[in-house]
Amino acid sequence: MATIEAQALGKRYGPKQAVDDLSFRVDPGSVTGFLGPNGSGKSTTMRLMLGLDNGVGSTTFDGMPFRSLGEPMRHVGALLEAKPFHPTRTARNHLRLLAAANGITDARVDQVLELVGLTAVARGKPKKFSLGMGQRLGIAAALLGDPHTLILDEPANGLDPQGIQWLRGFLKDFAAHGHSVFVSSHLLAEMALMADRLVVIGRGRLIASGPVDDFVKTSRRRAVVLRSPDLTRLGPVLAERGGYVEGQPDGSFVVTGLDRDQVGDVAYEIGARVHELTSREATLEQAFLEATGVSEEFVGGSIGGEPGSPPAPPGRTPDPGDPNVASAR
Amino acid sequence: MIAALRYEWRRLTTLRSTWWLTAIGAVVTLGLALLIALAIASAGEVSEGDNYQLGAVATQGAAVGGVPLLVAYLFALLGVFCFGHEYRHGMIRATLTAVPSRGAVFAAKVLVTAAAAFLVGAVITLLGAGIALLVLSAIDGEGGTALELALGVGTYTALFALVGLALASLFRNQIASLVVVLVMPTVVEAVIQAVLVFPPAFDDVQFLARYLPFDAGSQLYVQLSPNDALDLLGYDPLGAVGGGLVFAGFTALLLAAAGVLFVRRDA
Repeated sequence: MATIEAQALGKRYGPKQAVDDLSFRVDPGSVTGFLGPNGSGKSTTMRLMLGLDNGVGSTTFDGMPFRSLGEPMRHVGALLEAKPFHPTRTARNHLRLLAAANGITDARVDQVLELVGLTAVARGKPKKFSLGMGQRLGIAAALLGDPHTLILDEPANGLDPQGIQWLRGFLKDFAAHGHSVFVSSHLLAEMALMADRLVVIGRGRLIASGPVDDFVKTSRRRAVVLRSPDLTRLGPVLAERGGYVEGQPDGSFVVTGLDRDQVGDVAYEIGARVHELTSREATLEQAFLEATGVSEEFVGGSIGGEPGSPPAPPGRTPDPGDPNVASAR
Repeated sequence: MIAALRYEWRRLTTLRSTWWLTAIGAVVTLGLALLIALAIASAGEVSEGDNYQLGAVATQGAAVGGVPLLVAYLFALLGVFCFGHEYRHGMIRATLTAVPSRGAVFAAKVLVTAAAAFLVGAVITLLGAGIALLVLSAIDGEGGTALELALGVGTYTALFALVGLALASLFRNQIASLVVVLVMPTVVEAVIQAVLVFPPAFDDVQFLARYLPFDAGSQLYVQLSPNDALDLLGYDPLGAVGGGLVFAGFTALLLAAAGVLFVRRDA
């Protein structure tokens, strides 16, 4: 077992409610991605979970709060920020330091250094490390106690493509062994490949949690592309059944509100000809932008926009020419 | 608590600055001790059982001449680094994920820093006293006095280091803490003392100068100081025990404030 349960987490910085009544659950056996726009409270949430920030609410790991865990690194491995180490303490000594408090042997230290590919620089000073090497050392520290749960804040930051691929494979394999992974990332494509489940927040509040596929299906970009010479007859009936039909420049029509099978059945009922009928899946990125659009903290303004007019939230503007719309997740 | 102590000990011993500062402290203090001893010997004015000379050599003048006690300042730096490094390099998050109990982390830092500072301060002073006894053979070596000096220097060094530790924990800023811990005893206290002791207008509150923490603390090891001449002005410093208690109380207050904030604040 390695269940994480976060209950009503909250954190206020002065007038700003950074995390607001946030509850979610991370189950073993899956990689749970933690998504949210910049400044939405992801890192604060992770610090709250580990008792590093004082706030309200509670987080338990198999029923125990982090501060009550004996030798905590044997239960929960954490990576919270880039380069959390002293620049002149060697990589190996940094890990030996963490190991000292958790009854972990030097042999295990050498093992995780090998695992993350830092053996060659194990006795080197980390001040010369690149961001990616620093990140590897952070990952090694998280894995040091052979924990059943990993909490990783942007672990892919600074990793090269090989490193990212290795990390993805490692985390999936780790989760497959009945362990829990709770990982934040702003790289949505990466998250789509890595995560099975999602916790999505905006302005410190929960927006969605559940399987990635379910979240993607909430996107309004999910639609049916239809070509039919009989649209004058088909259109009104589709509208009657709850569909919304929108003409496209290329002569096709996009139907939202009904799925492909329903549109096909309607066409059959009234004897309308159909030349094309395809489902258009949304991407995780589209679903994410839609879900967080309303709650995004730092919405970018558009260049040349009318003065005084509020910038449109991303994901809200229709974009018929988007070449990515037809790509499946 | 054992885990926190293990962590803190390894933290201290895997830093190069620990070894550098200790080595520099040992080499410079013992080198100076030897030079002072040789200078006294060549002056040929060694009178039998002269404890001021033993103190002068063993503390490189700090016990007799109002000179700063080098080893205490070095350990003040180590005390500042104890928390300064944690905040400067984001180590505090790694520390608290390895040892989540903040009370244990704070207590372990206090214990390990104080023990290391006391031991090094005391041992260096004993070695200095050994040099005095070797070079100045006329000193018949009152062991009790060398031991008293070692205890005094060790205690003062430990308290000084803890002041540095507490300041760095309060300020979370290494530079600010270093400035305060170095300037307080050398400049601020000297100015306040001069203002209180010299102008007759302040005679009524002159006694307050006795409670300047670093100066009071220095009574732990001082045997003879320029301040003694101030008794002409009616100034009467505290003794070793009283002064030590004042400095220890000051340190305890700083530590209490730092400890409470460390537990309450976000890491």
